[in-house]
Amino acid sequence: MRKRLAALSFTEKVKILEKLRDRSITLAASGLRRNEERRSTHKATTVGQHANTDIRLCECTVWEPCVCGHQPSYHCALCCLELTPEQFKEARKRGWYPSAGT
Amino acid sequence: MKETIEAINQMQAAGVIGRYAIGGAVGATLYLEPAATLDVYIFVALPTTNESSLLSLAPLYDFLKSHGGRIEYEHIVVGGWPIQFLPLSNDLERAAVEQALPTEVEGVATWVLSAEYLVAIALNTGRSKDHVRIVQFIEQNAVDRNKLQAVLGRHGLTSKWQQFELKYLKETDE
Repeated sequence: MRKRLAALSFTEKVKILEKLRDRSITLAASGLRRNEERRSTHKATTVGQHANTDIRLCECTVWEPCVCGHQPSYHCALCCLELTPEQFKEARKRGWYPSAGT
Repeated sequence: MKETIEAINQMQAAGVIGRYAIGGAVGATLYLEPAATLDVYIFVALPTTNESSLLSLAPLYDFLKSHGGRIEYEHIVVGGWPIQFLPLSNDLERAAVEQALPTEVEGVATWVLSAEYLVAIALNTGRSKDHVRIVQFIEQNAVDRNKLQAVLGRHGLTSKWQQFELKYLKETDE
C-alpha cells in the first residue's frame, strides 16, 4: 500500500493531499470530538499505552489505516480515531506499520 | 493546487519573485506517500533593490492579493491552499532552490526541492515533525545516501547528521 501510494504521480498525490486537508478542516469544524453522546469509551486494559484512561477507538465498519504519518497513535483514515488492537493487528498483516512494536 | 501554482508562476514571470521551489510536507510528497498537511511551504528567492538590502514580502503579498489571495495569519491563501513563503536565508536553502527538480501538477510546471535537500533542510530546522520526515525518507529509501552525505558535508551538517543517526536511525539500519 505504502509503495503504491509513493509511486503515484505528483498530481495524483496532490489530489490526495487536498482530500486529506479538506477532511481535516471538516473534522475540525464538526465538533465531533465534543459530542459526548456519540463517544464510545473503551477501558484502557485493551490498549496498554493508555492505561487508566478512557480512550476512543475506531468503530468504522469499513476502516483504513491512515497514511498521515502522525504515528503513533495508529489511527483510522476515515474517523481519525485510534485503531483497535484487532484492527492494528490486521493492518500489520496488510503490511502497515512494519517498524511498530507488537 | 493547480490554481496556486499558476498564481506563483505568474508572480515569477512578472519579476516579483525569482526562483522558487516547494518544500515541506507537500514537497516531500513527491518522494513519499502523501501525508496530511494544511499548508504549503515555498522557498523563494526575492529580488533586492539598490535602495535597500532588506528583503520584503510586501510586493509578493500585494501581487497575490490582487490575484484573489487573502491573508490568514502567517499565510496567504491562494487556490484554497495557505502558503507560507520562506525567503532564502542561508547557503543551504539557496543551493536547494538552485538544484530543485522540475515537475508538474495537473500540467502546470513547478519546482520541488530534491529529496536530499529536503532532508538536509529538515535536519537543519530540527523540529520533531522534521525528524519524523527524515526517518520516512530513510525507511522508504527515498533519498540517495551518497548525495545526501555530499550535501550535508558542503553545508556543515555532518556532525548534526551523525547525532541524528545515533538517536533515530540505529534500528532502521540494523
